[in-house]
Amino acid sequence: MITAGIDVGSVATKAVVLRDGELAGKALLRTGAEPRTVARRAYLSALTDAGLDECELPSVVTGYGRVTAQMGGRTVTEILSAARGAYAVAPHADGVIDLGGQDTKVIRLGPEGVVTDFAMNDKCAAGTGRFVELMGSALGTDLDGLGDLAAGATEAVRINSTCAVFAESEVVSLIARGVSRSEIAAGLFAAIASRVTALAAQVGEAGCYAFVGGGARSRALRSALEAALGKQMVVPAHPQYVVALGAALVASKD
Amino acid sequence: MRRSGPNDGDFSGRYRAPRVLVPPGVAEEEQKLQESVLRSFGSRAGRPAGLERFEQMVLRPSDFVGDGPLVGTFCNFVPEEIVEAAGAVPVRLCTGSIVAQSIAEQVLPRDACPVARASFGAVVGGLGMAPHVKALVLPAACDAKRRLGELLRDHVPVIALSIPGRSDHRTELGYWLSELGRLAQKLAEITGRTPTRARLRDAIMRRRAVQDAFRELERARRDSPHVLTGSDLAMVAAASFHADPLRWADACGQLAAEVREAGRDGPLTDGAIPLVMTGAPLLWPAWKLYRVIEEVGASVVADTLCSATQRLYDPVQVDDWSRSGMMRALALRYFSASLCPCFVDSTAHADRVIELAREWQAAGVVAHNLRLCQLFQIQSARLRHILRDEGIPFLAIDTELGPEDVEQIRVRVEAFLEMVKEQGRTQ
Repeated sequence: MITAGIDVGSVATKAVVLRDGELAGKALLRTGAEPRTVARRAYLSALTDAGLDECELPSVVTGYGRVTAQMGGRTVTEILSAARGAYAVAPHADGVIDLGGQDTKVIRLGPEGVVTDFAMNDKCAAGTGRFVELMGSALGTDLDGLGDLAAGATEAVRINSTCAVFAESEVVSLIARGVSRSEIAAGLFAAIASRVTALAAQVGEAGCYAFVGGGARSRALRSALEAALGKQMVVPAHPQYVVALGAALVASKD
Repeated sequence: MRRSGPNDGDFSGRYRAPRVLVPPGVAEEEQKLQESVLRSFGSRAGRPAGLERFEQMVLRPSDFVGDGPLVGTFCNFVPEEIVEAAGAVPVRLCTGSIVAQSIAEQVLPRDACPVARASFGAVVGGLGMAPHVKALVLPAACDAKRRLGELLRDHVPVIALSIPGRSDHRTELGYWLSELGRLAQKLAEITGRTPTRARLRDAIMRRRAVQDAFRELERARRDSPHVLTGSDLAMVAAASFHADPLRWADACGQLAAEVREAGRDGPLTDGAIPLVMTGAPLLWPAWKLYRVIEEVGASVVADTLCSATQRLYDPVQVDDWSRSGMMRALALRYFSASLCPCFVDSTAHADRVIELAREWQAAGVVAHNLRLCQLFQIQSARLRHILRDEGIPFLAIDTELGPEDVEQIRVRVEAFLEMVKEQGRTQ
């Protein structure tokens, strides 16, 4: 059976094609202001990537733009999709941490990957991909650059602000005080990890976490989270596509 | 009208600083906001026609208010029977209007409770029933309300009501009774009518019609909880803020009959997932949470909100019809029945939430956390763990009054419903 899953996130739109439970094709585009068009384009590129001609596969749309972008098909939330996707790629994990552009979620899974509880950041951007992006630009770099900087740090400076806007001013004043960029970068990862840990505490500690979403590409973020949670995490091969994969799995169950 | 002096237990009248610029057209803007919120709920098949009267009461309160000098009240602590026994008409001015809230920003900091800001803005901006009140009764329930009394004193006479620090009637009732005695006296100074024994009895009997009608509606809903949605019930409660009690009770009795009939003749359920709502008040017209819940296929069947069921549920129980016996019964009704975290401990609140979830066979509990209404927010963290141990799914929504985060709320509520469905809590 061949199905598709499309995850229309606040920053990136991801599409996957699933053939008999295996990832056959994938595509990633920036979402921008036209989620419907972008979702369609991502779907078509994933088809091409899977070596398929244009056709209408059974598909499920998820993510922030799911309602706008749905192509007449079914939609599910990114929480359910993340749970399904994580269970498929890391069946022994009973917790999922999804660090996306606008939302950060911690999901607890029961037997067979059933969602038993979840917590999300409130509407502020603290601890999300947006936060990383803003802080990166304050330090003149991006997620990877921040990771490289943090890797060279001997110490992490404490970032007190949880609000992205205030944290940016805090970073600017730390730079002005002559604190090294490495220490600031390490401090930023620790600050995000502490926000995620607070969410994890709400839903109760898991034995093993799968780390998914765009944030999971960062080795520095993973280390900071592992340190804060006191646990090793599983990062699947394509962490950004796990939510889209979950949606494709939902489509295959319909 | 007499202004009280600086040392009589109320806020000092020595200084006055009532400077607020009311932007032109706010009344129209407010009307538009309310109408658009009402429209956003749309219409649905089988909706009882009797609800329309409550909508009219909410949209055009001055057409339904009783005769006599109006006294504005806040929160759920002001015994309306005492206000009526003093010859005045109580109107509750708590609002969730973002139009009112924006007026308040001239005076109050942005980091003040949204309900305090909106309610303050409605008074100083002359919205709704506020411009017609002769005085305000303001329970100093939380820090924001305490200071609000002082600020509002610049605009209209304010009777400040102190709330005991905890809800143990064995130690606190004496103090609360003395506050209510002072309220009766202050109101008499304003209206020239003393709440005598006979007047108190009449007022209690009149208000009993409200409680009886609401109980009747609750009984009807228990048999067929799907006939009214959570927002329908909230509309019934919101109408009671201003409407004459007898007219309201009459409308409520008719609605109860209609609910019974619909339950008898109509389908057994409409498939909406039943939820219990707790937390900060969902004050009209800030009803986005009700709307999202109903749009994604659920409905609030029971609540602990001071804006909804909690306002109407408990009757005044008089054992002794002497004046002091009636004052005691009123004190207990407005004190022991409250679940406000300003003085009720979170265990008592959790008990009630669990009881409601079981009674109404709810699939889960949703807590409405209004940002900066800290007591509810703090309480909600503990509630989450208590409910998990009880096996009751729980979702906390942190938000403010405006519509800006509707989509974020939708994701959370939708995911919550997916979760309870998957866990097989609903059929």
